[in-house]
Amino acid sequence: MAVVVTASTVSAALGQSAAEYLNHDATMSAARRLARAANVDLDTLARTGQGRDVIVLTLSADPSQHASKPAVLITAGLDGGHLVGTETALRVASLLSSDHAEWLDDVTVYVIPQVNPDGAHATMSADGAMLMTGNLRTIDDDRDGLINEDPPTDINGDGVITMMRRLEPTLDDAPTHLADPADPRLNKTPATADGERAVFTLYPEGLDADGDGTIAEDGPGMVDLDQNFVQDWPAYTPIAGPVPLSEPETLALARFVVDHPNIMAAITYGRHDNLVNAPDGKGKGPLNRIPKNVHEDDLDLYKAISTVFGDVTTTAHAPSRDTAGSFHRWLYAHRGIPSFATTVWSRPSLDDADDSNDDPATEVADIADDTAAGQWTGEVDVPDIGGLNVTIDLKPAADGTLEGTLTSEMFSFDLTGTFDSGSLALKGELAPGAPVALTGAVTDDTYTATVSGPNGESFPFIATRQQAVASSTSDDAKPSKPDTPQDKNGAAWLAYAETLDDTIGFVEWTPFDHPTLGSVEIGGFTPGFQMNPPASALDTLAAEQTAFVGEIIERRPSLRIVGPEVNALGGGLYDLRVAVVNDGVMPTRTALAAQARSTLPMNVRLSVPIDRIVTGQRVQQTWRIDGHGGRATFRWMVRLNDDEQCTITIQHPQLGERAITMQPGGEG
Amino acid sequence: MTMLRMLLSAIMLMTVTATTWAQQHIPSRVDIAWNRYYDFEEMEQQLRDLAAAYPDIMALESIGKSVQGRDIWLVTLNVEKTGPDTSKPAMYIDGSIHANEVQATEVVMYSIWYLTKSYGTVDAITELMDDTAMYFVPCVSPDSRAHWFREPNSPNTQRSGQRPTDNDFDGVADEDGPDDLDGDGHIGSMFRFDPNGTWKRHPERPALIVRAGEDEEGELSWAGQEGIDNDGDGRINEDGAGGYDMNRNWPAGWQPSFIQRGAGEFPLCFPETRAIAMFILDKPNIAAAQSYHNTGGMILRGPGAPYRSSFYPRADLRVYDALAEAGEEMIPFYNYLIIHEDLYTVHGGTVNWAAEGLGIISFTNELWTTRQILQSNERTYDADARQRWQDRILFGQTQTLYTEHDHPTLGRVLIGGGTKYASRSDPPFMLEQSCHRNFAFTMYHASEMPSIQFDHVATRDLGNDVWEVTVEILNEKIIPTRTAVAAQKRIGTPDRLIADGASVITAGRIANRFATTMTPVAHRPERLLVNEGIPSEGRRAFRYLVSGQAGDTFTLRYEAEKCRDIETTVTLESE
Repeated sequence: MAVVVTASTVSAALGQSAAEYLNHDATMSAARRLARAANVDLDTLARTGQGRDVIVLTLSADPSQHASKPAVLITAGLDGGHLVGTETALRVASLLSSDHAEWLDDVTVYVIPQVNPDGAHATMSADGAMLMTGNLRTIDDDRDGLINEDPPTDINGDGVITMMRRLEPTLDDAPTHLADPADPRLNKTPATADGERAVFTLYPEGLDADGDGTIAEDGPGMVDLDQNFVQDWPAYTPIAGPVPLSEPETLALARFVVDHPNIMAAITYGRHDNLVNAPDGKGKGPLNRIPKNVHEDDLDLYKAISTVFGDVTTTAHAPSRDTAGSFHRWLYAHRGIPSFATTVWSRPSLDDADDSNDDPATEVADIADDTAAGQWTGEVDVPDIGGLNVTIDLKPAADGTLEGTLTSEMFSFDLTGTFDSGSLALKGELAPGAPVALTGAVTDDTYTATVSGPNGESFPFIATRQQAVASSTSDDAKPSKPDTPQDKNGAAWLAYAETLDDTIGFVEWTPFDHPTLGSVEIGGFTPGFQMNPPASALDTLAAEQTAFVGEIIERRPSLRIVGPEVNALGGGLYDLRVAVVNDGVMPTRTALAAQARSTLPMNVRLSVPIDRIVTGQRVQQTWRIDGHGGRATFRWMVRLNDDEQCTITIQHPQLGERAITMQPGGEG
Repeated sequence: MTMLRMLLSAIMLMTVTATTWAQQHIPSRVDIAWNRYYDFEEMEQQLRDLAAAYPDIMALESIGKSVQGRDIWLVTLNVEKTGPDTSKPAMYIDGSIHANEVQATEVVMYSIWYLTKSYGTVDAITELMDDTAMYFVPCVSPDSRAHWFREPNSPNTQRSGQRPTDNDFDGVADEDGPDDLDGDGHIGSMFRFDPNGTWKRHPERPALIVRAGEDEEGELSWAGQEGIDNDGDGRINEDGAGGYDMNRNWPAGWQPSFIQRGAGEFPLCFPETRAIAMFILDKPNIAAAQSYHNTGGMILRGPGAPYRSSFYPRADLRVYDALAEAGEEMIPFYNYLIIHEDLYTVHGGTVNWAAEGLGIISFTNELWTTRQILQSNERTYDADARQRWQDRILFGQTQTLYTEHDHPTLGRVLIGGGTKYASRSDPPFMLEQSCHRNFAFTMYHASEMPSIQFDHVATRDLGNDVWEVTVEILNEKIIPTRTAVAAQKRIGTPDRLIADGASVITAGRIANRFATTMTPVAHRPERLLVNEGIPSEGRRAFRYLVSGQAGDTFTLRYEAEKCRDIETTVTLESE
């Protein structure tokens, strides 16, 4: 199948005069318009806390037969700020229904465009001021018995909630950052060896409305739906929900997956990625029974699909985020479904931008396994603040332990730590008396850690090692060149922002008199700038993702029945054989699904009564058939009368039911 | 009729109290005999009768529907005049998540019955009920209780709920369960005639099949539970009703079913478990929990698996030990055990979630042990000894004789072995005692839920309109206001000590009332968060510096999820 996708008219088909982001009502209208097509059905999965519908579009040449075809599940909008996912899902559905309707002859595509309409509505209503990640379930983020009492706030009234530089910190609030001399819009930690000195501390824009010393830590809502699933669910974290699948949206989504055993692959548009950075097969999860990432026998599948994704999309890099409690992780770990995740869009690569942060493969080759020294970067999702880029610099200390620094846009502090048998434990103090600890494991230059904060809060963190440790003779951190900002990722985003027509994406630092912090500057990147592209990019992104869906469809498991073969052995004894061959590229099920028996196997049953079956089980089962011509064969020896018919029935969720009736005696 | 009966009961209570007291008999407005079992519908009627008879203290509500549409009944016992239930520490008590473990429901129903009739009559119970709330789910698995009593069953069948489940993965659910081939209303065992078998009929006792001795020839081999190959796949009874375990479905160490058999496709995937979990989440005042099961005579605590041991810090273990050791004394022949060490590994059990997920002190009691029948902990029984008490005490009532039948695929078989009441349930004549002793243990547990008071409030004039206020809060009970696991894992909302109407300069915890220095909190001194709560049978001390003048007053309020809030007025005055 040649996959050629054009996208010029997608926005028009969705009823938009020009490319724009849709609010929930418009999303629903677009979905209903799509569902007018004969090959699209629309159903409601759930009603949210605020009374909005979560819908699924079923795309099939004959929607009444959708359940007996192998299916691709496309899910978007778990994160209420990830608007690009919902826009893309709708456009992909539109393109499949119209331009590629023939793909739907043999395959069903389920599209759930917006799992979190309440969060998306809040994001759209804020008109760029902020992103609402979760739904609007009220929780007590800071567990002080008061609800939503200290939200992030646009205190200077410029229309966006950004960051604050506290210019005159009090004596117990030591300055951590200065404006980067290479680009004063960016923050950096001081290179003390060069005589630099920190000038300000960083906070999210807001008040300390409840007077507990923390700014903007208990805003409206919310349960993050993409931390509310079962695998590695972050227990005891209010934002992850009181129990897994506590929310109507997540429960309905899980139920939908369980009830559709024909799903052979899933694609999730959201803040996670395992396509740009393909997962590895190392490490085990709980009880050493579930792989941490991917079962070793499923690695080839993931690598192949990752390669295809690189061929058909322009998404060149993606953040590494902790996937604990995420939907796409659960799909594979507990349901055994090949589960692919993409952010859909990433910052376009610019020729002069330094993209080294996103391409660790070129720099990590010479790192020894027996040390954790080096520069680690990652993003940590802090409740109510959002994603923080964090850099950890570690070097060996004299006594065999480690020392270094942790820096982010908001704070910086010294670290000490130990590295033993792959376990890396680090600790430091955010402020005097405010200890922070990181504990976790290092595998292949990935540090998967839990961060414990001074108030007992804990959240997941994944960092990737960026550069080899400097040789032991080099004792001090390298002074940064004045023309290279410390925050390379931020610099690249600024460079990209400058290529855009509008001055979107960044708010210049502006003085403001804060009621409790005194003199501050307010500014920084705008919410969502690094997540959602300009609307003009949406059609092209949808075309890429449609091409990717096409590639998955092309590689689907495709089952063919070979035989039956009948051999008369004489005396009314017959040898019956039948095979089922998978002509597709993908296996019918992952190795993990076969091990976990998470979905129905192929059942092959013979109509001959059991007392006349000499060898073979009357009902035989196969849990997995490899791609590329892999096969399962079934054999019986039976006693039959000459004029007696018998039937072999083959059932598989991706095949439906096929029955073959024969009369071995009559044919012999 | 009911009104008349209620009136009569009331008159009896008023006029005959002296006599009944002397008899130690407390009449109930709803007569229930506790030397027999009741099916689901009978249980429902008792609940309605009790709720109608005791409307001031008992509320009955359905918190959801089972798979087959039966109500999941929840009883709240709360004395309204002493405050709403959520203002008091509460105990949650359930039974029959495994419906074949039938007497669990009787124990819960007995508890409701005994408490309702005793309120206002027995001082200790009146006081307990005035101070606490109690939530009961007498039957977690209504469909399977209905099935167990209505249909032929064995002591072990209907452990699952009734959601059709494809145990043999053949695309059809529940198509090959046991069958009552001999028509006696029970599912027994089958033995086929087999010259190489290792079993034989007992020479004298037709109710017994025993192993052949070393020098003897056997005549029988065991052929499983009573049943046929309904789906024609060559296997017998491999896909009966349901096929999962709701006591492996809770989000604490939950594992998928290839690791933990019967876990369900995700935590709380069944309507029964989900309804109960949502109810419990809605009641953060629950400080104690108890689940009833059978069998073995055990008082069990978690963890269910060794890797969950860190959820039971030492301070909490002292609480568990104190309560359960009292239980061992109150319920003879029961042993206090740890699930994964002494029983088997359980991932995702109900009490594991209550204890580890919610920080609630929780036990499971495994009701009934054959040690009770001859009232001895030492004796072990061989087949003959067992048969003696079957004959002499139970009059052979739970045994069924082995009789010969034609089986469609096994040929001639012997079917028999025992009724569904045979091995796991209390004999009726002992049932009431089991109900009462287990009920009494849970009431002891309930009576040790946290209860706090201001034990010491002192003010001292430091001059210049600055005052020192020292406060000690005492918890007289065994259960702390926040368990150690709740404090460590940061479960729920920490306790709060709130100074209302005071001009607080600074405040913080101190070691005790005599401490000379304090470590002040950095922020919000008028609202101290106390994550560790007030400890088991102990005190915690706090100190404030406030500005004011002699005679000024302010309010100190201690708020906690798992006990009654307390409040006192502080007057600034020199000692």
